[in-house]
Amino acid sequence: MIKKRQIKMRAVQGNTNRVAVNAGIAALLLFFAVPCFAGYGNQQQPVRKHTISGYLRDSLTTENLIGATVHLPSGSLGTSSNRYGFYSLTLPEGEVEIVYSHVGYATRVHSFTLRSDTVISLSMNGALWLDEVEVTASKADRIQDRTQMSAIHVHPAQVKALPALLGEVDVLKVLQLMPGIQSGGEGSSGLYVRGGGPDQNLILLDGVPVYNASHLFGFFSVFNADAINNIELLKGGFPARHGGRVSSVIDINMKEGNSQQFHGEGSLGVVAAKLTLEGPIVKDRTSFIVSARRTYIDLLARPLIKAMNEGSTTNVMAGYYFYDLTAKINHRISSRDRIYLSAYMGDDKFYVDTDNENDDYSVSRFKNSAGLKWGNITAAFRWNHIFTNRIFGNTTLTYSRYRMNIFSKLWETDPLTNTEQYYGMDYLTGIEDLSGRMAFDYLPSPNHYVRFGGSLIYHVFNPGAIGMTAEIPIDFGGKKIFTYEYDVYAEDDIRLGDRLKTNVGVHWSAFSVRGRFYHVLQPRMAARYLLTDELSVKASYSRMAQYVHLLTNSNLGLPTDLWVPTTDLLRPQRSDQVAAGIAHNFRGYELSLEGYYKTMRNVIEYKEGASVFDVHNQWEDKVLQGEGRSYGMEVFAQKKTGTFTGWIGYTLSWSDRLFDDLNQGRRFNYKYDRRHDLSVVAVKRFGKRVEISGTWVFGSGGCITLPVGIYDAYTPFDVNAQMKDVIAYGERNGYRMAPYHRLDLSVSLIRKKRWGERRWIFGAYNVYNRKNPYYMDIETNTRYDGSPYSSVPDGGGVARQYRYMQISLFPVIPSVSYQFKF
Amino acid sequence: MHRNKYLSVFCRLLPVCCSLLLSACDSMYVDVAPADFPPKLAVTATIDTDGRFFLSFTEARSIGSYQNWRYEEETIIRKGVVSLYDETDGSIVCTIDSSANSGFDMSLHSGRSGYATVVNGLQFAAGHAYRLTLDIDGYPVATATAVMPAPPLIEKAEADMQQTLYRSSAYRIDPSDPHTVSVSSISCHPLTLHLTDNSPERDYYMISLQNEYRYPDGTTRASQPYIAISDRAVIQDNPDIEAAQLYMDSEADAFIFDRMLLSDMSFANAAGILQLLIASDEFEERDGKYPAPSCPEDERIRVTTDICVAHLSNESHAYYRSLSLQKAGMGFFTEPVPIISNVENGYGCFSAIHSVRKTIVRYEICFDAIYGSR
Repeated sequence: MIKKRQIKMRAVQGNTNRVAVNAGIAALLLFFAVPCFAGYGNQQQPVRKHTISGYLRDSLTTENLIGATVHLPSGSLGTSSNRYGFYSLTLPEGEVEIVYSHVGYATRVHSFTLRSDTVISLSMNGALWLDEVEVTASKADRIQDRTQMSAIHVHPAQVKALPALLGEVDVLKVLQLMPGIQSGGEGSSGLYVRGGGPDQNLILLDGVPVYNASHLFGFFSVFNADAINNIELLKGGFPARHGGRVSSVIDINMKEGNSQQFHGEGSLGVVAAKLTLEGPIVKDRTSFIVSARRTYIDLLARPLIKAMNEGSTTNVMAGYYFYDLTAKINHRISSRDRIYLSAYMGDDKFYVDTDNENDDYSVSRFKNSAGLKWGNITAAFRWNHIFTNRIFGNTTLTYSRYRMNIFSKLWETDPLTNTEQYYGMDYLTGIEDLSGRMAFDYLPSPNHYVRFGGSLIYHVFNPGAIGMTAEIPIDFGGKKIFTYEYDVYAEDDIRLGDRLKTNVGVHWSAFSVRGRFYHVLQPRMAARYLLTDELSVKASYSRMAQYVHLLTNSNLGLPTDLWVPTTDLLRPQRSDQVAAGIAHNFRGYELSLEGYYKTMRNVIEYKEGASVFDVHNQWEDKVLQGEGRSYGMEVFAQKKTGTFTGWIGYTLSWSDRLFDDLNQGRRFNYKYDRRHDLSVVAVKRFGKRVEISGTWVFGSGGCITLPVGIYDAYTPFDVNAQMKDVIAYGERNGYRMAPYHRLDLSVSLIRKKRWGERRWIFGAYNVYNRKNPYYMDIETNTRYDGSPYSSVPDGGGVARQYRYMQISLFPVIPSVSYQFKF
Repeated sequence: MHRNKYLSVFCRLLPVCCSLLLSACDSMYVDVAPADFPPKLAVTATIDTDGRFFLSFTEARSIGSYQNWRYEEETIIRKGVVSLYDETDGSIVCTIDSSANSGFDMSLHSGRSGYATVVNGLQFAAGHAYRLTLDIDGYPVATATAVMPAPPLIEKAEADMQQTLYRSSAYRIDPSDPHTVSVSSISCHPLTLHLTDNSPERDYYMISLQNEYRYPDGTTRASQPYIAISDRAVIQDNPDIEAAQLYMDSEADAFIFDRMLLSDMSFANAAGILQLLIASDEFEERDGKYPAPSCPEDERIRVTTDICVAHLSNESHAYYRSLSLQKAGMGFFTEPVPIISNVENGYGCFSAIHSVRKTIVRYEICFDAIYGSR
């Protein structure tokens, strides 16, 4: 009976799927057709049009300028450069005046007679290298003019200017200071965007997904700010070109490497040192950048540990380090073709090695090595090709691997027989991706910016397997799962008159696993309407789907979290988000106010009592799927230009979950539900030699499931036996810990040198030493010391005490680092 | 020169900063005032078809109230009235009233928290609903209802003493999967139970074992052996269930108080064979000798195992399972497990259990082989 019902449901689903596929194909055809009719109205009065195209770059670093605007002085017609610095603008024949502008760069104006298709590639001067130029946001680059809403752009210079934990600047921590984005906890670089989970963020490094973006148990991200050119985060209003995750897309572009001169920069900090080198291999044609970073806590601690081992028969060596290495080469084959090869490699390792030379009970010698190791490898090969002055193509092949390994190895050497016995245990989990992607930008007229493309990803999941090596090698746990993910998309950024601009598109994605085929059609819409020259209203709707899930322990973000696929038992996650807001530009201040409502389906949680280390059960048996909901309001005010810059971000939000088998079927707070979240960021530059920055954050306390009561339970049928300390929990995530707030300050002393520039940066994290809650636990104490009740038969005066304990991580932490640039 | 000075300062600062980092983690005691948590009763009560009413209750208090030391004896409960009703026919089955004896009878209590007692000789019928009311001084009146389930059906039970398996715990093992394995640590014998489930609804079972050693002089000794679930439960004669569903879903299982809990998820309304493992006992461990034909009957130690299969309600299963999961948890690395309860105004569970027993003779062994001649 049950089986028949399942078959029926599948049949209904099959019909729905067919309808969805047909609708998807129709929508795709429609979008491809739109540009073809774009100039239809103009056929009555034919006007000759020509295209101006080219690349925009930084004059000094030769880096691509992403999102720079190219427009007519009136601002009525214009375009912006894509992520490779390419732009294309089609205008009527005749005299034209073109304005090139970008935030932080001096505006350039080009006047000429447009008689044919023209290529203009420009190098723009950055403000950091100018003394007298007034740098302002140009007319077409203002927040109220952009169709895209719920977007955050961060320049690495902004990242470097802010105070940092232990002096180590972090890209993702800066994003946490933006409205709508929460951190996972004290010191964590995890991101929780608009009530979404940590797996719902697509983090791309040069277009390659990075599955674990954390070093040092989440305290630092894997991204080295010295090697990064641009960071963009979308938390809503997703254009159709993005897909694969339901809550956000974080697109991080690496620098290309200077094609004119050799340059380098580096730093020595409290915990880590880093060095970046870049320069031309063939001037103006081929350039490289290579950047490396490593912590040295383990090296500093080594002499101390050696001293502690003195006189002992057991040598212990323990340590922790992480490193990352980023490299990129780009080569200009011709004015129309360019290729890039980029790679990232990083590892964290925590280890304890012991060597017991003279055991008391045996002549054998034991050597033991145990630890935890995790890391990512990513690689991308990219080919940019300009098909015509209006069509730009990008083909990318990528590889990404994340692997986590808990290991324990024991060697037993018998000196009498000179034989060695090896025992080992390895817990391995990870994910490996191989993908190909083609993306095209088509700019048929200034009123349309069409993007279309598709990709194929081959995933290999390894969701937790244990291997034991003893007399008989044994493996058990999760088996590898091989899956394919496909997507195609088309979108058009359409200008409908002077005031209305829309972006409509459709993204279709599919996933095949174990003979099951899932697909989701995802419509996307966004619109902006200019109320006045300074004020616009915006609205968007987007549906997103994702086929990979992260099983994460709700108590702690560990690298032991498992990446698992959608399977025949686990359905894809989906979200629908509507957002609306206003954007206003007021005397150099940008102000945006957005409200959003997001529903999520098939979000994943561990079952009650499940543990990541429980290998007795298959991972699919340990999880549940349910619904999520989040809504709220975000206010963002930013000053981008001048000697005093910064922003204030405030979020008022609600986020909850509903699972049939959790919290007895009642809706409960999401762990990262924060009612209030406020960030204040300020950077002030005094002349050319001193820069002071500060951040203050405040957030409502994190939600936890708090044990509220305690009792002893008798065993059934046995009045002599009790199960002690049975815990009565309160509502799931129903207790809110104390609010989180913190002030960080930093002072940079800058001096120009003959060879370049050096900076001493003095900072303090958590200046007023706030003990922010990291998690809470119960301390249990028992005392057997006699009592007034000792006369009770078999009593004996056992006393118990339970106390709530709040664990905090970081007190005030001063830091100093030395940076140099040449 | 300057450069060297800076470097020197930097090198001195590094260890200081590292020490600060290492000493960074800090803990502090905090006062938590969770939502209203007045003291309530935590009840563990069971009625079974052997006519027993096992009653125990303790005090559930807020953790905040234990900030100061609290003696266990302070939580002994001495006064109140407990009533057990048969809701189906409206009769009172049992009343325990402390006022008759100026306090509860504490003869079984031995200084433990709360209060516990057993009443024998009662009668409980399948299908009847029973209501328990606890009106205890100082606590809100707690009530709970349980329906006595139908008896489980054991068609056959047999232990295979010739086959020894080695298990330490039970994994869900797919025979076609080379990656699954059991790790050796204890020797066991397969125990096969032929169960028939008579209802299409979800049913829950509790299985317990009891060994009895009967010596030649007539004395007996009892022990509770280790029990584990075997590779799989196999469903017979049920073509509606696909092969993939034949395996017992271990997620539905739990072990608590040396009893095994399972659901009929894989054999609802069908005949099923449940393969369990029963641990070898001390005699087998010592030499594994079975009686030689020459060993006279009156010289033999007879080892029998009582298999008790109990039918219990959904709430009881959920309660025991949640208790088991909470206790098996690995603290910080495990998701919190709230204890399921069917007690209004209290915690714990009132269970009605319908149990059926089957005794199997596992083996006989010569007394001399174990203890030498008498």
